[in-house]
Amino acid sequence: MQRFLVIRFGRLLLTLLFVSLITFVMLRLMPGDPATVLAGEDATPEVIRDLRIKFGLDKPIVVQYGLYLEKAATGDLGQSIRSRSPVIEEVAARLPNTLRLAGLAVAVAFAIGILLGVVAAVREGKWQDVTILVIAMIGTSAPSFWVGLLLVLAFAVQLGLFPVAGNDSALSIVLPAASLLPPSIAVIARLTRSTMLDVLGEDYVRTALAKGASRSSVLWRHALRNALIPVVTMVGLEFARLLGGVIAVETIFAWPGVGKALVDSISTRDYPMVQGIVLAFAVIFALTNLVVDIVNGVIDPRVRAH
Amino acid sequence: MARREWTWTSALALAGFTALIAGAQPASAQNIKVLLTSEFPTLDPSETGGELPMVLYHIYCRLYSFNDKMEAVSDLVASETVSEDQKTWTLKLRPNAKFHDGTPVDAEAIKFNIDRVLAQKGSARILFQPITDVKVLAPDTVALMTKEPYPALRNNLASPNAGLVSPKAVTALGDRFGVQPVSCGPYSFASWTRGTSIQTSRFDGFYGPKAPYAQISFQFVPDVSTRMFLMQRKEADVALRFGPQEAKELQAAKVKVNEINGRTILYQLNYKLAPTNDLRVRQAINYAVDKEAIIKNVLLGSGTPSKSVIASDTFGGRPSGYYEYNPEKAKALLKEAGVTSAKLKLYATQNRYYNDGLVGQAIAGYLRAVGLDTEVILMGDWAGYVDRIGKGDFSLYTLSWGSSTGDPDRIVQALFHSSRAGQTWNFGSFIDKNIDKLIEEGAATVETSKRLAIYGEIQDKLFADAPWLFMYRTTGYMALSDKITTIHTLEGPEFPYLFDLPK
Repeated sequence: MQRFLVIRFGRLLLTLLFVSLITFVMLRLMPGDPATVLAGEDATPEVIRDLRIKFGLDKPIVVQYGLYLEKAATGDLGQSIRSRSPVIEEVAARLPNTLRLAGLAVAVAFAIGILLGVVAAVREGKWQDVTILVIAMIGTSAPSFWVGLLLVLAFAVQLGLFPVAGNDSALSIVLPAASLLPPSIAVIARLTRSTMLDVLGEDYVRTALAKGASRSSVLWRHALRNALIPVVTMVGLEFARLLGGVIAVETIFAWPGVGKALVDSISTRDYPMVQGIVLAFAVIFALTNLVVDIVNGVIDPRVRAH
Repeated sequence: MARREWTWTSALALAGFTALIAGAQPASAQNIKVLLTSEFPTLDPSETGGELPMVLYHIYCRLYSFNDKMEAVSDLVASETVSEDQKTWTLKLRPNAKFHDGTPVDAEAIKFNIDRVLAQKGSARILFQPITDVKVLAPDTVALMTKEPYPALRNNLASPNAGLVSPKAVTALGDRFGVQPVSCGPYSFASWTRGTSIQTSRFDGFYGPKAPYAQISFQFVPDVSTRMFLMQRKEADVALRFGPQEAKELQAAKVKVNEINGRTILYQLNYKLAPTNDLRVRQAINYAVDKEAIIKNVLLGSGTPSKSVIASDTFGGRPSGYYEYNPEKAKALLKEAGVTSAKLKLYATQNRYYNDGLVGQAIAGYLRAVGLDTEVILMGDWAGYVDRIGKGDFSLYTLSWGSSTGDPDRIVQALFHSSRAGQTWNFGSFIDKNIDKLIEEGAATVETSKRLAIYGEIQDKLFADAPWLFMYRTTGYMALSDKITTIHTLEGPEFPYLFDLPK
């Protein structure tokens, strides 16, 4: 296990280095720079030149990247060009909200998706199966901003059960999380259904049933446990996808997450902020993968051996 | 069975409890929630962008500010004396003014502020630039020196970017000042929840009339439908930036909607490239486009045709004429100019101004109809757009202009002075020595009637030269709840004030 973690950690560092390099270079290849945006409408060329020097944008890109890495190694991701606050602080103020939103959505999608998937597999070809498959198809094709607006109209504007937007009360998270659900539920349900069908056809399931084990214990304890491995992997992927996909939902619900901040930072060319947010995403992606591997190891010890 | 019942009961109790929390938000008439469309990174007064000015007005005090007619009048200044040669302004300050941290707003503080902005690299510097020196004459008296007479100084110092900062706070906070500002306006900064809202509360030590609301919370809600829903549900009190369609829907839902003046939208023409370097072509472009039809059909009525380079909210702004829709005249002018086949490049922003991309497409349609083969390039990314325009390879591009000072000097300087040719915002390289002279005269003329005459001449000359495709001034809409009793909307800026203005 220790060796496994060391290797994984080394790979994580390499990934982060690579991500930071790509982000760094791509941002600087974009037309327009933060000095022009910050200097505003009345800027003279001298003002813009001064600003470029102030942010170190006048140096060759290799030197800029070197300086950035040197600072990053000490945990300093620089200052936001526009707010002048440390990037770490800006990200830390918003990232937990995004994680909470994506985490809740994935947890609920996991529970509902597995339930639907198992039911569909057990009732293969029957009306329950067909209904679930149709719902799943609609779910996959429902864009979250559209679902979000419908949910607001129904549950906030008409019924008044939940706040329209913001993050003022404990209930604020319900509608944004719910609007992220349909595609995730659909994906998880379909995957669970197909892996369950595979597993239910295995010899050991027949053996267990023949030995007189109850149907439900075979289903939930023997079959589902084996069917879960690809599903858990998928949940990890869904979580990662949601982190990137929450921007529309954050905008509709005025949810103070990191997605909106990322878009704003890109449009104002706030290089350090964009770099910081992308790096944070990369760390979470990598950690999610790590967690998925560990969980799969717990579910099936054979995975650990590899 | 008993266990199941227990589960149900607790679930119901939980649901009831949470509903209670959600419902228990006593919306006091004293606490106002304002919906803005986007967050800004800092509240430093030297920054511009988005709806930042609206928050700045409420937190920052200024030496001068605007009255209801958008004239710059004394605010922190108790009395002013301008010297014989018009180059020294001696300002006596109100005796009782204090910053939110309790330190006095005295002559030293004014000097600190002006020196700070002049040393800064930011967009506010241009407002203070005419000032060459600041002298503290007494604790409550300060003298501002200018190189030339500069009557627009009052207007510049009334701009939201001229807000005064507490020297003590700036020294203590350094770079962090922008996220926890201390000034001397009617509301003081309380807190900022990143991504969510900024809280301000009434400053009891304010030198002016008591502010009408105990607290104002500025909340960031980027989505227009969400802002609409929040107003319908009475979860907010002021919401800005609605289009004509949403205004109708809000009115249908019995929400009060007020009109508010927006920015002037124009298309700058390129004097450096053919065929727009020919006066007849520029005029033809103006005659070729049916502005009224665009306002009616693309803007759904939310605009008025612009008839001068200076809008009517600004000192001296008045109509100079109107290029009515006349495609035959446009074709004749093109023929006269010998333009038979020309390719134009039209750049327009997308989603920066109301229906801007559609307006660009409509204009291109009109231009093609008179024989100008127009390529439309729409760009949603502002930084990229400015970068692209800066390369000078355009025939016409869209830009908007608003008046934050109520004085025409800044507008004509930035858009028409030859020293700006090829740079922001004279990318069209308009160069005219006579106009330069008039601009400089206008800036330095003190007598009102003479100044009016100069700006009148500037407007007429520019209108005739057609440096722009003159388009329209937009009308915006804001929604208000019943709790709003005090609100002032000026003709110029696009934002309301939630406190009483000086007379």
